Amino acid sequence: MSGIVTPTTGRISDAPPNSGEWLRETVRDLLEASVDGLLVLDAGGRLLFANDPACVLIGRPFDAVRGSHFGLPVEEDTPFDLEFHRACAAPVRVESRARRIVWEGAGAWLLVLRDVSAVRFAWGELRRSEAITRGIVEALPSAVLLLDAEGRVVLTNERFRRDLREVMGGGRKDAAGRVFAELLLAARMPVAGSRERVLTQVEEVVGGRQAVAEAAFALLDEAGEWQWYELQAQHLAGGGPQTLITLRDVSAVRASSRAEAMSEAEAGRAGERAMEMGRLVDLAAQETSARQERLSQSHPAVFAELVNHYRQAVDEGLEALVQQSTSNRSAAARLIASGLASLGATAKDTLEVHLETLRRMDPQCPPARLAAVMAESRLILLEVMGLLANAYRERALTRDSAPRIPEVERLRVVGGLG
Amino acid sequence: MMREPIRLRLYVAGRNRRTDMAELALRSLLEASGEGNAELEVIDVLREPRVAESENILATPTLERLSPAPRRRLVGDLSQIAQVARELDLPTNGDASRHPGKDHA
Repeated sequence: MSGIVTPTTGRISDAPPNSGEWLRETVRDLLEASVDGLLVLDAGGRLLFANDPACVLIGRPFDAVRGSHFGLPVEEDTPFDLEFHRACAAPVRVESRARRIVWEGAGAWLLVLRDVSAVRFAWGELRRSEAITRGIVEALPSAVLLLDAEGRVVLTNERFRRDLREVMGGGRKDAAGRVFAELLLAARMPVAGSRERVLTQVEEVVGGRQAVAEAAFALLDEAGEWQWYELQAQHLAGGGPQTLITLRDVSAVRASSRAEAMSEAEAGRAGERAMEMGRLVDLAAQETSARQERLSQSHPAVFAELVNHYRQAVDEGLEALVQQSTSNRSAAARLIASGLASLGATAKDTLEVHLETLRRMDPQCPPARLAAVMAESRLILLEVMGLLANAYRERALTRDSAPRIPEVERLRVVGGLG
Repeated sequence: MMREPIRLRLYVAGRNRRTDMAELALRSLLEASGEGNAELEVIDVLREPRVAESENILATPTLERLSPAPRRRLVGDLSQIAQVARELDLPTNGDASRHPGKDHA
């Protein structure tokens, strides 16, 4: 058996080496051996040749498509996509490239076909996944940065671009491509050491030494206002961006907490005052409920004694006025108030003492003296009222610790006025 | 002698932005050609597989000039509309006197 073995397929050719026939057979062998699909079209777009991979892509044997009007490519050497629709099989997407050739002595087109279905599908999925991720990141209420393994900003979201890009020294330029440390160095951070603390935390995560790090810091905005942020740096598994930085504006939360604390303190103080007043009222109510009747009815003798001393205090006051000496009114008023307080007298009781004193005045008293008595007694009344209120206040404050004065003792005290 | 109207048929697999753009560009091309009765038919091979089979359409997108004769087919990227017009021998704007098919008749 004689012949030449072709280099690609090992097929034995009878054609002499380097002859035209040998070259044609060699080219065919090369086309057949290609892993890419190869089509040869005549100048009108009809199919002259298809290798096995091309037939697989088309989904038909060559004999079934030989001479078919496939169509001409629009441009030479420019890659384009085609889709083949095969019976009983999924459509296949092919990247194709066309080249003008001479085929068996005539002008023709060679189409190289490569199955890119999986690649295109993967790219499509990747783009869709990226779009979803970007959509989520853009919609986050916090400012977000994605950093690569070198700490460079890969992605920012709308919140960051709106609120922080300029504050963090980015100007109007996009922060993408810049190192995070560079952004932080350009920011105005009024709290000493906070910049270093934040940088250290972020670098720990970027360097893979820590999975998550958190830090709080303040920035000065363009108006010079303090803006508080909480930063969280989180290491992301997988390729691509390595660190997710989330910056949450907590200025409002802080202000609210401060206002709440102040409000709580104020409420506490008001509450204490209210409790104090309440205790006073409560005390008076207890005293009143303990003695349902007026002082004049429950203790008529003591009441009469108090009226006498009231009258005596008025007289002494008038005497001092006439003689232009120092009045002993306050001391007398203190003793009367002490007596009234020891009996749990009310304002009405005090007023009754005052009115009873005036009622006992001599009807023949000259009007000038009567006017002087009324003026002086009013002053004593005011003073006694004030002292009585003070006495109740002091009693309320020391209510739990101070021993109650027995009534006998009270009477003795009152009796001591004389 | 009456000239044959220009009839094109575009075979696509489903509708997407690229096929929509191709259709739009081809309609613009036909409008600009000045041929009042030019026609473009779009066949979705996923919806009308029998048409594709009977016409022996092996790949999409394929653009076919049905008339004037002879039929010609182009495959692949149709975004280069000037190139498409040249390959199908279609008159472009200001080129209405030239009639497709005369070189091949």
